[in-house]
Amino acid sequence: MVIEERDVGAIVAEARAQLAAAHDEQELERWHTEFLGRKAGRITAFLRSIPALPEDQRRAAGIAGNDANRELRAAYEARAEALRRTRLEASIASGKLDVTLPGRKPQIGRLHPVTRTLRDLLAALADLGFQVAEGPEIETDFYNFEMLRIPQDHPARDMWDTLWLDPLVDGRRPLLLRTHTSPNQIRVMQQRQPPIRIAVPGKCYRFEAVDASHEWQLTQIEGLAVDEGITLADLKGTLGELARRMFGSERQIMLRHAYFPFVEPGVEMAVDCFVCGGTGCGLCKGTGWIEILGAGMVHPEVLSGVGYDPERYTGFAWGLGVERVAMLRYGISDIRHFYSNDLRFLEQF
Amino acid sequence: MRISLEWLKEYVDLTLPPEQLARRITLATAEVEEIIAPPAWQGVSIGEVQSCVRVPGSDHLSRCTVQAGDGIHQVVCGAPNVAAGQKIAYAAIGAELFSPRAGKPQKLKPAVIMRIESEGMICSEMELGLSENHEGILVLPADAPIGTPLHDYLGDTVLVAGAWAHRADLLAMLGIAREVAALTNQAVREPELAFVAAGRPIAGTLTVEVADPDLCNRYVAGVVEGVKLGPSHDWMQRHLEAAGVRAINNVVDITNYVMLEFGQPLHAFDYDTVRDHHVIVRRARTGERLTTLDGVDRELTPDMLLIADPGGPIGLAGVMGGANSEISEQTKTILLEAANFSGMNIRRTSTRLGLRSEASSRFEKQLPAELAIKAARRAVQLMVQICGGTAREGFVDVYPVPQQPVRIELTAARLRQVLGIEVSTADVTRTLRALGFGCEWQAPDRYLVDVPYWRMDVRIADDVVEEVIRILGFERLPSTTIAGRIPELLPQPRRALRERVKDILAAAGAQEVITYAAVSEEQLRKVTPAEDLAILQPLRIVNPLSAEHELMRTTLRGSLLETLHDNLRLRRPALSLFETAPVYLPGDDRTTLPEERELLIGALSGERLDRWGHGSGEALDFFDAKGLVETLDERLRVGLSYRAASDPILLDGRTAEVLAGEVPVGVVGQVHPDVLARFNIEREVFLYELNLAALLPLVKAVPEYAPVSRFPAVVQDLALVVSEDVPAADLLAAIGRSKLVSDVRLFDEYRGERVGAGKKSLAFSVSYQAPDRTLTDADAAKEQERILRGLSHQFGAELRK
Repeated sequence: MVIEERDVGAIVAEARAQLAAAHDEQELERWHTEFLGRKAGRITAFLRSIPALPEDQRRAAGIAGNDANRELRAAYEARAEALRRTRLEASIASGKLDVTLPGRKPQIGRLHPVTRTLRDLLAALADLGFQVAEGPEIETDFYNFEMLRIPQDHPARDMWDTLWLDPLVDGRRPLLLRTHTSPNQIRVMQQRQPPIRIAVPGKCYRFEAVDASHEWQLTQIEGLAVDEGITLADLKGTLGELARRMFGSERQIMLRHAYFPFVEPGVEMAVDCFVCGGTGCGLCKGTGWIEILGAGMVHPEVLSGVGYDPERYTGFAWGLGVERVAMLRYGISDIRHFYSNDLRFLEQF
Repeated sequence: MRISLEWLKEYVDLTLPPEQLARRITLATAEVEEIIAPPAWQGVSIGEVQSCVRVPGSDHLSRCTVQAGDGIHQVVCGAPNVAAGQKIAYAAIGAELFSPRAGKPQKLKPAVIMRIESEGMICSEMELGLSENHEGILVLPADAPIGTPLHDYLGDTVLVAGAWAHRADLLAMLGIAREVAALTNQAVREPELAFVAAGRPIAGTLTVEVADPDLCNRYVAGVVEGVKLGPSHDWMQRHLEAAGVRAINNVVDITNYVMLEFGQPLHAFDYDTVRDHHVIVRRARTGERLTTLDGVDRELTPDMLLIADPGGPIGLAGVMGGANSEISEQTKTILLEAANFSGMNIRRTSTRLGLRSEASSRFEKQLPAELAIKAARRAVQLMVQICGGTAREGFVDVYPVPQQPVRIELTAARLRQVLGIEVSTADVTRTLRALGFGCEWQAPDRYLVDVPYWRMDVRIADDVVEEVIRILGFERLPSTTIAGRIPELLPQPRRALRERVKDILAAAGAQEVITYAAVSEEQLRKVTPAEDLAILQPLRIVNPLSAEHELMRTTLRGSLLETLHDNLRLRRPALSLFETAPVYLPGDDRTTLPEERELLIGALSGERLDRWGHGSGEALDFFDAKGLVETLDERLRVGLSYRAASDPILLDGRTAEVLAGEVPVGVVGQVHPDVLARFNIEREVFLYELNLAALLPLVKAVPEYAPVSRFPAVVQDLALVVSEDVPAADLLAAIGRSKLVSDVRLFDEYRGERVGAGKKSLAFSVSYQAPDRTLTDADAAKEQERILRGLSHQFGAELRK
């Protein structure tokens, strides 16, 4: 078949009209096959027929054919793009999400608030160069009391109401539940030479009636630093840094006199109230200060007891209750929450 | 200690308002826990009754005229004791007073009583809130200034201060006064101790024998004859009441007053009841008994110190007197005891008997022996002065080894070494002297410090350092940080493992709990077979707070199941709890420290969650619990294996022993419903338990790294049919042994008709990979052939058709 040159114009006109009427991919593809298809496309057929034309007509037909081909391909691309866009817009419109619906959460668990607070404290202490040293919870009278200058029948024993374990040997009970983590300070000092810089965390137990502010099981951290040249001013500086790491970088501390048999001098440390800033509120009971911990310079007899020379070495020690720190930080008013393990409590941390 | 500021003023001038004084005491001495301010007594002032006549027709009312600061007022008064010439507390119209009739404060209004106008009121102690006494009006001393507001005249602020276990001196007004003096640069006025002893010499009228001088350093006795028992003076009663001590009679009040003043407990015996007037201080004999002043008949043991006469015990030394020698209405002559006992012995006795008294709480802190004679003199002086007694001349004073003065050398270097600052010689000297210490600077480098007799707690140089800094104030110290070497590394692998385990489990959706270390016997029995409990008897707390916390736990299972049960009422679709804690395993010798073996325990119960966070209906099962253990294993890189096992509280067939090599390190399984029933749990619970202590040496901190192969893997599925009892783990291991297998995973298990009875089909996804070349499908097929031959030989496995 020979197609006249003028027919190309008619094909293009027809193709354009049909393209405008193609409203989906299928119609578009059908159109493409009809006009531009490699096998039976009408434009393709026209181009293929050119070599058969008389010599003088070939050039003009070639130009017209190629123009038509180019024009229709561009029109096809434009139409395809327009259809794609329409489809996308339609799908966006129909697939609109309520973005306020809850997401699918992976189930994650949580650490107990005492664990969290303990870790924060130990991290703060690591900053200050204190390494963790853990020790046994069941202790001997010797380590828990005697080595700390709390002899039998001394009124200072009243400061640590003790849970004792069976059996009774020669009228004395050799084992007890440690009332503080201090015995492990002794153990570490017995095994090592200064410089010592340790944080001793762990559970402690007291013979104490349970109420909103007292528990018989509690968690303590004690700190101990022993070396040449350690002073009470160093204690003050160290406790200040600890307080700022735990309660905010603005915190100020105050020391006041206190008595603990194993330190001399002994102090208690308070921070300025982080709720009211020191003007007085419910948390600080109007004083502007919150009691945090007991501390002091390690008593020379404690040092000589572990074989250190108290004239050469000095040291400081302090101890605080982890639950108390957690209560202050989170505003928990009842200590009994910690070990009753109600998920409604635990899940808040 | 309750510190009446009115009383304190007698020993030291108070230059600070109560709040500031309290603050100084808190910082330097002992915490002031409470400041009890006096009532305001708005509108109440001192007046004088000028005339007082009975109201005709009334049996108790008097018509009085009262001279007050603002003029004369007519007042109708119902008190029986009102009389002309008295100084009284006059409440003007508008004053706010406690009304005994209404039981609350009321504003005073003008009244007309029996047609007589009454402008105000003459107050009773009850109306003023001073005491419960409403018998009559409060009569003030004759020199009370008319017109002065009562608040200024009678108002007393009381500071309630804590006590330290080592300082008996702070349980005395004089001790507090010494602190206040040092803190405010004032001088202490000690009470005058002189008196006239008009009686005959005491020698020969009283003998004292201290049979056990190791428990009694000193025994001072005085005798006052012809005492007239009666109420003590108002000032003394007021002081005692402010101190929280009830007034009884003048003799007892004096002993209490002097105890509060000096800190030395005293005891007054009825001299005539002491047989032969012979006092023996000795240990009790076995089986001896004494009825103490509180009316309790007590059995004594030989380590208790007694005050006795030849007929037997008359007092429990340092703790409480005996009823048989108590002073009474008939008492004419007082035997006054001021003794010094061994603090530890008094403490042991009072603890043993459960009898603590004001006396024992002072003696147990170890009083100075020097104090006894001073307090004895003061008490005799007051008995002469107040009770109209005649003192016999002298005291019996058994004091074989007098208290030795203590001198401490404090070098300036030590002061600097402990405090980290220089303190001037002037500050040190002034501070110590203000506290009653002697202090001399001895050039070139030290202070000679003489400790006053009342400071038994100061014995070494550092004690003196504390005195200096607490009085000067800790604010003097700068904040410095530790210089010096970095301490040797102190590895804590146990803690490191525990904290890793916690992090992994929390990330895997489990909630950490912390439960009590001591549990009830009942709880232990629920999870431990009786024969196990008999073999491994838990350590028992002898003084538990309750039966709930009596035994040191040997397993964590009961605590966790209890916690799980407690949280079931929250109706959560799924619970996943865990705890790491030691169990306490006593050795054969129960007097040495037990093994504290650290365990991990976890429990799961409920259903998987759906898109909305609700239960999906698909129950959690054994493999959820095992999956957590596997996750731990993967992260800790131990390489655990599992095999079917039995456990006393877990279901057979649903229990696996967890092994590291051949070492059992834990268990995972479904809790037996019978056990759950003991905890009132009615749903399936899956439990896992790992012995962290056993795991510790096996954990690899650093992963075994192998380079990632550059050559792609060929993945082929392999479905096998084997006998039902062949453990899948064995097949996995066998396939994994091939050098060309880089990974093998099980992805299906099927039992049923299609594979036949007693058989199961297992489907594996096997990755073949070589480190040095790209494997072809043919390579993989060839290797699979080889593997299959091995499996067929070893397990009778067949390729599933």
